[in-house]
Amino acid sequence: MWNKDKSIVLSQVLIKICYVGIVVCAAAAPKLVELYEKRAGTEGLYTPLLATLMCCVPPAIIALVCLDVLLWNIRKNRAFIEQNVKLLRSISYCCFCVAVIFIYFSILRPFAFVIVFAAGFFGIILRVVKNCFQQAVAIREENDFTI
Amino acid sequence: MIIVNLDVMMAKRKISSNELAEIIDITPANLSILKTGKAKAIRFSTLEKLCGALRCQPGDILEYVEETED
Repeated sequence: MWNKDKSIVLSQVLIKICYVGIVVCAAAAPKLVELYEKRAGTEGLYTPLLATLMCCVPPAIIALVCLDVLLWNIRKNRAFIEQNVKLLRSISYCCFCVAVIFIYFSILRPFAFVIVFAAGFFGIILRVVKNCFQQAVAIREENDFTI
Repeated sequence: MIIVNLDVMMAKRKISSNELAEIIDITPANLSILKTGKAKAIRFSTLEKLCGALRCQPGDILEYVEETED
């Protein structure tokens, strides 16, 4: 039977897969970019694209670590705590960071603006979720200290 | 600000924390939160039980003190 715990475990497994995916992609990035350049038949994109992808690796890993800790807290029935608000804030900053990094590449290749928009949009959504969590933490604290 | 004078009333009635917690049916931990002034709110039902157990008025337990800027 599907339940809350299994759902969290599934999310944690997906995060672990993402960890591996990012490491593999970062290691294979030079080859992948080379392949993309050959297939697309464009020149002069190798360095900017590789630099953009490499710059996105740290925020992606930070976001994954934050998600992992967040899920761990939720699993321990500590969803509405101040630490989770900070984690959500960090994840949203990571999204904004990726959006900013991709701005340069989107000047060279306008289709990359989709990534800028998507990352920025995720960042905004996460900020709203963070605000909700912040409010929930305040309500929980008030409830805990109402005797 | 509101000051909780629960410890004063408890001393007057010579009642211990554990005893009072048992009478009004709350945990000693929650009573401690009330006594130390960490509580953010108090339910009317709890206040009623406290007044009943300590034979006093709400005003004997709660006191309003104007905050002064230091």
